[in-house]
Amino acid sequence: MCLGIACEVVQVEDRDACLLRVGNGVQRCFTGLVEPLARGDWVLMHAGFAVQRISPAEARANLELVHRAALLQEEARAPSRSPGTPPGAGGQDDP
Amino acid sequence: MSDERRREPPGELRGDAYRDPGLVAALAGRVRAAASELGRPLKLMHICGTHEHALGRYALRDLLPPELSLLAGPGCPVCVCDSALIDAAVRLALRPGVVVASFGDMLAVPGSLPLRGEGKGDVRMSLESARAQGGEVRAVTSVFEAGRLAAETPESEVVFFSVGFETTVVATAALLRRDPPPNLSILEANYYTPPATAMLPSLPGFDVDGLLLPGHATAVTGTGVYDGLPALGISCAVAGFEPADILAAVSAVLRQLLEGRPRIDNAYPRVVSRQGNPRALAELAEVFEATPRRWRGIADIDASGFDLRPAYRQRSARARFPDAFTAEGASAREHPAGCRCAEVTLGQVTPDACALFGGRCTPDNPYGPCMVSHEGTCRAWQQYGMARGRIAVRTA
Repeated sequence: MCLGIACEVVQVEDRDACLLRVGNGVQRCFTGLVEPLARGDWVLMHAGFAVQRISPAEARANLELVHRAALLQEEARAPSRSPGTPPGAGGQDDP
Repeated sequence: MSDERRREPPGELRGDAYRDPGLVAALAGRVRAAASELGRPLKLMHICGTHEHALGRYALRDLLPPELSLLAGPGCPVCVCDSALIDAAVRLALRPGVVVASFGDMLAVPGSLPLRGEGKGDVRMSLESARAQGGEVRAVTSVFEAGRLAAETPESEVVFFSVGFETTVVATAALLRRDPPPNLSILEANYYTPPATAMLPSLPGFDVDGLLLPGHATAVTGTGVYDGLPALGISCAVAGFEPADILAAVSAVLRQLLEGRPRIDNAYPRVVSRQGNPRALAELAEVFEATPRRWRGIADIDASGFDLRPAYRQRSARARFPDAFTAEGASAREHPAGCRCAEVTLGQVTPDACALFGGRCTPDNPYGPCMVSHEGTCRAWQQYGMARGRIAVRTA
């Protein structure tokens, strides 16, 4: 039930609803819980509603972090990370 | 390595970017290196059924070193749904003039009412068996579809059996705030993950080193709701659902163990933030309030569920049909006899430890809830053949 898929907005119907491209089809989605959307935006859809807008820049940064995490073998051995260095898999989120 | 560095990340919004074989193999190598450096048996646990399915679908456990176990925890809302709530849904479905709508996963889950005339065994009523007896039951993909159903059938009372974690309850709250048809009511069966997660370390024998937190539930709540876990000495990372997402989160947890500094790393930052979805949380807080809830076969956990607030209580199926919420006729056992779903849900045993797994209990003929739901651990193990054990995979 936590299945979510990244979908592109193909048409904005009103403040609470958009048509999203899902596979080869289009599906109506409740979008009232995220900021106003425009055609071409991407959202994470779960159970008929948009949980989050996905920014392409954030997605790019995420993928770059994962690539770096995979490549920087030596970093895993370091006792602490230097300022500005991304954590092993993403942004650190200390309490 | 230099070739990898030169390669531009492809299609960052597409899932296949996170399924790249080279990337996955490199992450698996990093996990193996960290586990080797730790040099002891390691146990991690995820708490999301969708993670279990991703592990099976991509055979990711085969990429992990043998000393690292990745267990499935209480991450399936259908599996932990209180059997008394299923019984209430069954009674409502059998009532003339009432239509019960819920997610397809919920329809075959047995409650505790015995199914008459079914031969031997502890066979119980589900919404599907209620439908077979003439009850009105509809599978829907969202609460919004239940709202449309109510609008199309004004002569019926439509009850949405609102099972799910924090991801689905916010959608229910959003619909109720937007004046749905008056003949729509809600059977409140929403569960809240963080209190159950916080309870895990208090279980006897709990020796898990780290947790993978559920990516999409955390997209709603934000990571802050799990702040208490590192204080208990548990290393955590929020994980997405593609192979590289999961291995990156495993790698992040192992790194914390190497450093001896538990914290919460966010390995799914393209979707998850510290603050979550403020608009969704505000609407949730307006419509629902926290309540103690029974996790099937596990415990009553304080503040682990959501009930409608007084201003919305006229939408509660419990308020509209109080006589459906009774223990009359219910079995004293929460799960059917012999079913080990409670232990499976807590990661205390794997599905293949259950004598019923794959024989008496299959996806086509499920006996316990973990075999019914697509989020269920037993279902995933059966679907992907995970009882075969680990197959050593060479990736380099």
